[in-house]
Amino acid sequence: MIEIKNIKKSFGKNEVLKDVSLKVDKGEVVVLLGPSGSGKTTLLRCINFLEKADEGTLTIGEDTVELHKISNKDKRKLRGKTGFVFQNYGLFKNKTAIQNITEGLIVGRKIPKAEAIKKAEEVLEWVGMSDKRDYYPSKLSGGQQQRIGIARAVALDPDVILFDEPTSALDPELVGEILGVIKKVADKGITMIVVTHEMAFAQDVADKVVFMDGGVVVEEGKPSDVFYHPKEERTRQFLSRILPEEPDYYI
Amino acid sequence: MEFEYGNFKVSFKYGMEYLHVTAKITFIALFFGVVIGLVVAVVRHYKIPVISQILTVFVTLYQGLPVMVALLIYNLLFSFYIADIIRILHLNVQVRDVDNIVVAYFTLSLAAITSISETFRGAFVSVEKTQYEAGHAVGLSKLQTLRRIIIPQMIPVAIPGLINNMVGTIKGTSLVMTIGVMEVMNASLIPCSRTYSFLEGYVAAALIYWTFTLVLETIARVFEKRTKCYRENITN
Repeated sequence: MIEIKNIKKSFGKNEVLKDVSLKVDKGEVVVLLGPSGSGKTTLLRCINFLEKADEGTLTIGEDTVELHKISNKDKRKLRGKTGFVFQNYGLFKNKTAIQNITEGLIVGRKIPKAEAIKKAEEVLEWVGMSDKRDYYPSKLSGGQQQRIGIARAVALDPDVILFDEPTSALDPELVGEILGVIKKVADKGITMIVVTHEMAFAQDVADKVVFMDGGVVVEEGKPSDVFYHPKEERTRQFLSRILPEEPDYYI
Repeated sequence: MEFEYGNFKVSFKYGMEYLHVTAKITFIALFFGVVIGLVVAVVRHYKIPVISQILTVFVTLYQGLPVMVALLIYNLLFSFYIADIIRILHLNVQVRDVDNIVVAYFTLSLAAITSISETFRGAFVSVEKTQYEAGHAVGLSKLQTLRRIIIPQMIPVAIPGLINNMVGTIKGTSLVMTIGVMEVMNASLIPCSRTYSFLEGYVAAALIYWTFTLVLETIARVFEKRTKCYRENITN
């Protein structure tokens, strides 16, 4: 369904991705884990061509492209198959909630206006934001903005939705509700690649967990395997810092 | 030094008669300034190879050239080569019929283009990177993203700077008297050569410029206020 092969990417002398390959089946939810600077966000951005990879191939469905010499036409074609949810929401600030959703449908996809509005209203309802239909992003809370961001990605009916730390910019108390919306997306059977630090979410929703560090995939597997029976020492180290464990001492 | 109110009134009347020339130079310069200035800003912002470097060098150098000096140079070249230009382009006009006000249009437009392009460029920087990325992510082309997402967000930010450019351009028009174009400044001084009432002439011109600027600025401020809601939407 989606296959990334031997992707490499450097920013100047800093090699961020050193030969990463990843395969995602249809309907699968893959969670990318790893410390900051491990390259997981860059990997996600390379899949959507927001970052230009130095090497590697990408296959989505039937289409295979070489990432470093992709034409603008192929870029748009493949982008049409992906949705992207940004860490800081990335809503168009000059558009209302509903316009944020219809913009891609009408201008990008050339769907008739009435149909696009109907579709947008449906997804707004689905993420529980119908009453904020005509609000500008500046008048919405972070959680509400991210709901629109997710609705915008879902409305495009993409083959895969890429989530780039969708809850990192949110207040702690809002994280749960957004994760709930993302889980709803997963329940729809949409293929997803999610970069997140929310372990409980990963355990609950992911079909596969991929642990990255230093620009390579260190370990991948079922969440229960990776979390509780990690094969690699580096994974164990990382998990020991974030998975809740028995405290070493009591006060 | 005495201030003869009668002479002042005569100067004022003469000046007002040529306000339309000053206005015309102003609007032509601002029109090209905004349209071409936007294109220059886009090219430089997107770092379009070669053209962007050329424009950067040009804008930087041209910003250092005083309008007065530019006017005198272009006027000299104009009067020297106008006969050739008419001949080469097979224009059906006589050399003596050609008004060198076109030099004024050209010089002030060029000055407006360079300064307004810088205003727009600053406003471009105010739009976050994510806005471009979000545009691409929902399937908009580069041009669609620019037109539908980026420019609408950057215009409200640019307006205060543009008002500043407008005022600068109005003031700049007074320099065209040096090449003999009859406009407010020049016209206000017509009676002075007879009456030696130069102070009255200058004050009359000042009053006309001041009023003209004030009127345009007020209109622009109303427009700025109207777009305030957009600015609030995009800056929060």
